[in-house]
Amino acid sequence: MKAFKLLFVSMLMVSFAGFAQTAESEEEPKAEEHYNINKFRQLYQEFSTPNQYRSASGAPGPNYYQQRADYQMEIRLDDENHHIYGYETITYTNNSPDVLDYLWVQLDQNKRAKDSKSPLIEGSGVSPFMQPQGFAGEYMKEPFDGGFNITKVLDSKGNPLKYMINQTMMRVEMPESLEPGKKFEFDIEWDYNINNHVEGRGRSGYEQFPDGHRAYVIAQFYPRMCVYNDVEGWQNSQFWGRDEFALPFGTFEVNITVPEDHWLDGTGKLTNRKDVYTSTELKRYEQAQKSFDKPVVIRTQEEAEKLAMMPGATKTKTWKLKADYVRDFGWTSSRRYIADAMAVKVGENDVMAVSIYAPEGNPLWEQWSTRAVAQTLKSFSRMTFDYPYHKAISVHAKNQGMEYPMICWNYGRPEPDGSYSDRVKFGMISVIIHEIGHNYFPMIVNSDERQWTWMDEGLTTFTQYVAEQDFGTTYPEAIEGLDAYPSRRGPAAKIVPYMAGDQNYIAPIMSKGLNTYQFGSNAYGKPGTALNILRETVMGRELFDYSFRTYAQRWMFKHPTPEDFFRTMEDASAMDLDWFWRGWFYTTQYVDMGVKSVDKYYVSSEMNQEIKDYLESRNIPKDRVPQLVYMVKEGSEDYKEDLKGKAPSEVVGELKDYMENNFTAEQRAAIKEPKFFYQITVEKPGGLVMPIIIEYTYADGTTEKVTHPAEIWRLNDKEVSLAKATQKEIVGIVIDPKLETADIDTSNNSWPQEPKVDKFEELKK
Amino acid sequence: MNKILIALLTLGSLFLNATVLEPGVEELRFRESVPQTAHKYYLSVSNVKYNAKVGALQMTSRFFIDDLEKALSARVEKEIVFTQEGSLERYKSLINDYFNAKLRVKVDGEIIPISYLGSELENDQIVLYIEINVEQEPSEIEMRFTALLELFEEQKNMVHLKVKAQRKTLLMDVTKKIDLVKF
Repeated sequence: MKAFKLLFVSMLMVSFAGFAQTAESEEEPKAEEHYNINKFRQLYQEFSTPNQYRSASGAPGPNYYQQRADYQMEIRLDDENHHIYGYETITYTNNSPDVLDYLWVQLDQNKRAKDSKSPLIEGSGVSPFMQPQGFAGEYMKEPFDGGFNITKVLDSKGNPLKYMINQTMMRVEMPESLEPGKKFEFDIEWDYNINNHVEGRGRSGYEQFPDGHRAYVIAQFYPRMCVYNDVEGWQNSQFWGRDEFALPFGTFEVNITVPEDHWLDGTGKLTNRKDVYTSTELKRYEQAQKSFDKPVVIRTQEEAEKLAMMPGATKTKTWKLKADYVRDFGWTSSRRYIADAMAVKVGENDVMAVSIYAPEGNPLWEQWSTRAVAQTLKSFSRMTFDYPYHKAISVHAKNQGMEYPMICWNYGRPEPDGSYSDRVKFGMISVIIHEIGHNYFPMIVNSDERQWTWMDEGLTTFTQYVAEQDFGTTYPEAIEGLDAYPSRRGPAAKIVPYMAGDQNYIAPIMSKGLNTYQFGSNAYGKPGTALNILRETVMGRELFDYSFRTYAQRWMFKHPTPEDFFRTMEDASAMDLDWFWRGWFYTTQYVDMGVKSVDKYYVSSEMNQEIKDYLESRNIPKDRVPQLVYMVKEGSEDYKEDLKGKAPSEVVGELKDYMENNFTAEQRAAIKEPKFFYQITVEKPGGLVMPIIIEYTYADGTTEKVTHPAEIWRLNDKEVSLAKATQKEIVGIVIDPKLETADIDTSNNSWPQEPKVDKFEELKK
Repeated sequence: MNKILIALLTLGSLFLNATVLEPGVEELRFRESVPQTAHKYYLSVSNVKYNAKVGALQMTSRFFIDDLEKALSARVEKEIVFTQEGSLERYKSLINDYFNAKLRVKVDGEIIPISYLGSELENDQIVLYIEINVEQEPSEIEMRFTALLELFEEQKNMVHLKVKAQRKTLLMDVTKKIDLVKF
């Protein structure tokens, strides 16, 4: 009898499936033939094939190599004429297996050359009106000449080398090809006009103060080596102004000569501190090295203001900086600077958190800048690796945020009377956390910014969110009146407007930054949020954090690609995330799920209509069917009020018999028979597959949250039906109750449907 | 026992029609800008939906608080601050006048006056609630939306519309102050 039952049931299932297919094909035209378009297929087409340089695990391969560029520089700042003169010796080491015929050097300042092509790729036409200043700048002035003036390119013996400049890239021809393992040393002499970065906007330049003095934040100021690697060959894609940089690691020894009353700092260790600090400043610096709880002022506001009232020194001083294992160099200089610093314990290292700012930054900067630096070092180090450099500096620039190794520029300026809004305060703390955070990505985990903006901006935005929340916990006084630090990016719900926007203005994350719309949401907000969702909702913190750290540590001081990141996250967690990368990074799909219908079922011993119809269609006599446990839908013809809330074994005698024959008394006593059965159909109008997070509310007020992994969508991308058996009646169902998935339409997420608060009606009252 | 139940429930689902509904879009709550790169972004984002019950296009517009403060301060030559208690109520008519001057909506060829209902603050943005009374669901909407253009050359005013179950976007800036879509 038992065998017959089983046979019958399996027969029933097979034929039901067959029946369903026949019925469908009669109603609809045949579906199109297709390639594998399943959203859970592997990314074999999108990913490059693993090789000896880059392993399938996402780690550097056995033959991984990277080039090296060491710089020795003499730099002179002409403050009066805001002009920089430079001379550098570059030692380039070819660690690749390839023979190189020429070298490519980046001339970023040529973006500001008179004949720059950057303005020529702007397609938005004539402005019908402009501010007088803007108009004069656009049509009446000679265009600002901020390009590099290259005066010498010499080999180590002083002989001129052949070179060619194509916009922002310079090809230097070597007398002989550079064999693998060999070095080539050459010199470049150059100078250029420094731009006003406040008026003309830029990552580097000076701010002019009304008292006639200036503050310089200087970067991209020297001809820099391009990256040569196994992925791009020479990464010599032009600098148009948006996509940032790809740079090899090396040692920098930079001597910078500035007016003697200037305060200067930059990438690297200051090797002649005794020559450039006063004895008082030295003493204060030594105090700061021992101060782990609050910053110590090294150069005071009073001292800076006093210098600002004077005409400015004509004598000069040379500051000597040396940095190992950095990919770039930035520096700042002004006689109007205040400086403070404190020590931070990061693993075994004592790191100096430093802030440099004009008096205009106070009272905000003295209070929060260095503390924000310290928090960033702690939080980012926890999420990745111990900060390996000896210092991290936050410099106040009026209206920009920009990162370099060990040093960055940050906005956040109070009103002239010293007052500031919360927006300015939190904007400043957030930008400091972001830019200091860039030390990890891309300064140390040295991805190619020219091609993949999201690899540094997205990862930094994600980790920034973690650090911001830590900051709120460390400094509750900074967020007085709020429950948590008001992060602008990170929580899933904040990316909804972007995800829900017009598809004509959205590009996939896996696009070159220059070619994307809504750059901030594309390269910062969406990848940052996607990683936060991955951490909190898909992987869980333990798996995510281990994998994220593994990626950071594998690629610390190396050049990773997107695949190296994607592969490592899977390799270290045993989670197949190809569906996640595909959906969030390679497409513009969005999340939208909803409860389509909820049907209640009860157990009955009487044959239901579905089986009757089926038997009839196959001419099977009813008495051939053994006793089954039938499910009857509430409201259907078979439904009877007295079925409600009964234990199945009370209703179906055969079930009771089965239990008595197959379970021990002990087992039977432990069984909690479900009395309510639900079929919940979840529809998915959105293209992205995501886990279904479903919360059931029971009649007694208790709730239960169940997360169905994203794989629930593997066979049907449009809708799935969940079966839920419970002892208690369900009174409410909500999908994604905590807004974790960036579902763009939550109006369909509840059963029964909740009336929406109508702000318009509320305002009319 | 459970296996049979599940099998039957699964079979049941095969009979359900797999209709795909037009994705509904919740109104956009918050539009991010790009403050973290070198450039501040000048952008407002509005969402418009046709509400048949009310007989109106309902529009929510988001502007950066400081940008709108600057624009209104310039008009009345005194410093307007929204973030103080009760200031949104105090400046209601000022905001109303400004948007009546800066937002012109033409529906199916006819200019319809806007009614500004009120606003609220959301992080660093101000959310304005505006209604445009239209009896029939429109087939054509034209807007001239010039808010903040007098102040910032780079200001863009972006309006996402959802009408007749279609989503379209208007984009206005100094080079193109009027934009039109058909549904």
